[in-house]
Amino acid sequence: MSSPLVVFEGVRRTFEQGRVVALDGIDLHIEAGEFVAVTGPSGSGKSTLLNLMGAMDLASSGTVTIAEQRLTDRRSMETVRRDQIGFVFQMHNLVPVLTAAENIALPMLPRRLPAAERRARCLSLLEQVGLRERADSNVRGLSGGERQRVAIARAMIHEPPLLLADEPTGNLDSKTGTAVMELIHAMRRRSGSALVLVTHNEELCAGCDRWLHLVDGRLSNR
Amino acid sequence: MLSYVWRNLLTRKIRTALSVLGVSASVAGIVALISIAYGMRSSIDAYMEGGGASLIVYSGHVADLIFSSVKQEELDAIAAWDDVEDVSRSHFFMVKPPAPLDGGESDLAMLFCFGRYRGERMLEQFATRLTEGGLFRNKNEIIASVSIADALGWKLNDEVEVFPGQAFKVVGLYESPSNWEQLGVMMDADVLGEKLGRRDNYNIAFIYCKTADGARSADEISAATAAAIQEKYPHLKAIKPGEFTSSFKEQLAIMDEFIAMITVIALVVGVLGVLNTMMMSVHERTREIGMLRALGWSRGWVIKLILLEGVVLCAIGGAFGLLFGYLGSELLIAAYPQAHLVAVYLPSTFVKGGIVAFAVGLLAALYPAYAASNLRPVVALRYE
Ligand SMILES: Nc1ncnc2c1ncn2[C@@H]1O[C@H](COP(=O)(O)OP(=O)(O)OP(=O)(O)O)[C@@H](O)[C@H]1O
Ligand SMILES: [Mg+2]
Repeated sequence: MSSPLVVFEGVRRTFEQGRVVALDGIDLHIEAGEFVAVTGPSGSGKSTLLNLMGAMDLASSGTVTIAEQRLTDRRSMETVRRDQIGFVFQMHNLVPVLTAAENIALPMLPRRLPAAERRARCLSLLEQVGLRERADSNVRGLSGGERQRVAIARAMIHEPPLLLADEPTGNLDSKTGTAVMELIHAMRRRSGSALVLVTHNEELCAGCDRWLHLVDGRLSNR
Repeated sequence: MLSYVWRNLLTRKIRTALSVLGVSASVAGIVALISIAYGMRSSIDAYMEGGGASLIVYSGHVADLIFSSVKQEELDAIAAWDDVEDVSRSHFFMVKPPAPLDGGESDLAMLFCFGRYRGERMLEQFATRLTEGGLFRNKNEIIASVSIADALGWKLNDEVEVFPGQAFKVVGLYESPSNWEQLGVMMDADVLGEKLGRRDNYNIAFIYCKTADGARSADEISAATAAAIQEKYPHLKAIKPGEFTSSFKEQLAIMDEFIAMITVIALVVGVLGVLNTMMMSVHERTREIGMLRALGWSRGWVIKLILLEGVVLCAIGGAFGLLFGYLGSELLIAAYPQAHLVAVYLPSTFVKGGIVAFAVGLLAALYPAYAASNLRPVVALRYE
């Protein structure tokens, strides 16, 4: 059996010279293709955990290993982010001056793909999220749900092994939220990506392979 | 990437326009300054070269040609050399222009007076530049440029007081490609020499050497003559007419220093303006930059994005600057006709302007790019 996609060993993350402990001794494994739900009260460290998994942040102590790459410095973080991670945020975080297709292409720019191929991939992704005909519209003209679909396409364009979603439906009404969640699942199944979903909405955790509950920076059984 | 940069600049139209304007003003100033400075040089060269002489001879040690003194006996000796066909002696003086004949006021700043001798090639050849009348024949006749005649209301055969109380008859009108001659009159060299208190010495002499003989080219002959003059009369300088501005460095170096100083000031002003714009733009896009990092952009790519933005901004500013520099010079020339400025637009001047614009863009974007790349993605994404 191959080694796990994500390995946390004794991970602590503190802020403000150790006065704020956001994560306190986390050990966990996530296998390729798994769907892991993360819940917990506000301030329990969910976003901090996700940022560490997404190679956006470094642990104060303990080790984080993603796809056999131990995160120790900026360089290892940048490589892991580029090759392993797709991010979907609560806020869509699209670049307002660009079109849908251009937004989706952003992660591809540092990967030096020929423009035509890049464009073809963007269009196929937009097709998958049902926004093919909006490819060249400015994202300012899109609804909240549509923007989040663009953000999903952007996160998936390089078929990352690990898709991280921090309250992706937090700003959407429940009907649109459900549709967006279905889309995330459809997309990740197609590429075989693992999904770590942070949410307050326990309904969205249905069907997960594992459910992590955080309380005060610690994992508690549920 | 470029369309991303472009779109960012277009979104903040007013700010972008102001920065572009700032950069273009810097570049335009530099282009205009250099072009007009070259124009000045080229009008000096045009004067020196206009007579078609092989060499010009003047005192090598003086700071201004006005003080140059080439002695009659030296010129007599040189004229006797085999390789020399003609020596044309010349005086040169500037006076306040007399009042116009029609009683009005002229906006002429000064009048150039050239002293020449009949029978010497420099003047005789000048006959081809006459548009009316003929060359002067005696000491109370002059020829004047058409533009001077226009400015002062002179017509052919008018009696005019070039110097107070000293009247001359205008017997010919000319047009010259030399700006100096265009601003002047020509008269008998003895008359001007007397005015200057010079006896048997001249500002400058134009030497006409033999053209190619069987063994040597014209260039070789004039080079040998120049060497011989400088050897025999070490205080004299003998050079090709076209080399005058480049050999008369002492005076012109001040102009170059001045240009360099203005260039530096323009550069600093341009950099500060663009720096401010770029810092604001980076600050406003903190979240966006954090998001790009989360999407897998390395620090290097963020730096590239911001640098490119600065360079594109300044490329546009530079392009306008080159255009404004050209238009500005022409405007300046048109606005001050009495200064008789000319601008010479060398390709190298526009290249310099382009380099300045590029440098401004790069320098001004350097720090914002560094600052943007230093944003920690997690912190940037939390930024509201
Ligand atoms: N950059 C930071 N500086 C200081 N404290 C921080 C920082 N990031 C997180 N924290 C603190 O760490 C704790 C965990 O924060 P985190 O954002 O992970 O919580 P969360 O579970 O995602 O909460 P929410 O559900 O409200 O998003 C909080 O007490 C928070 O104030
Ligand atoms: Mg959170």
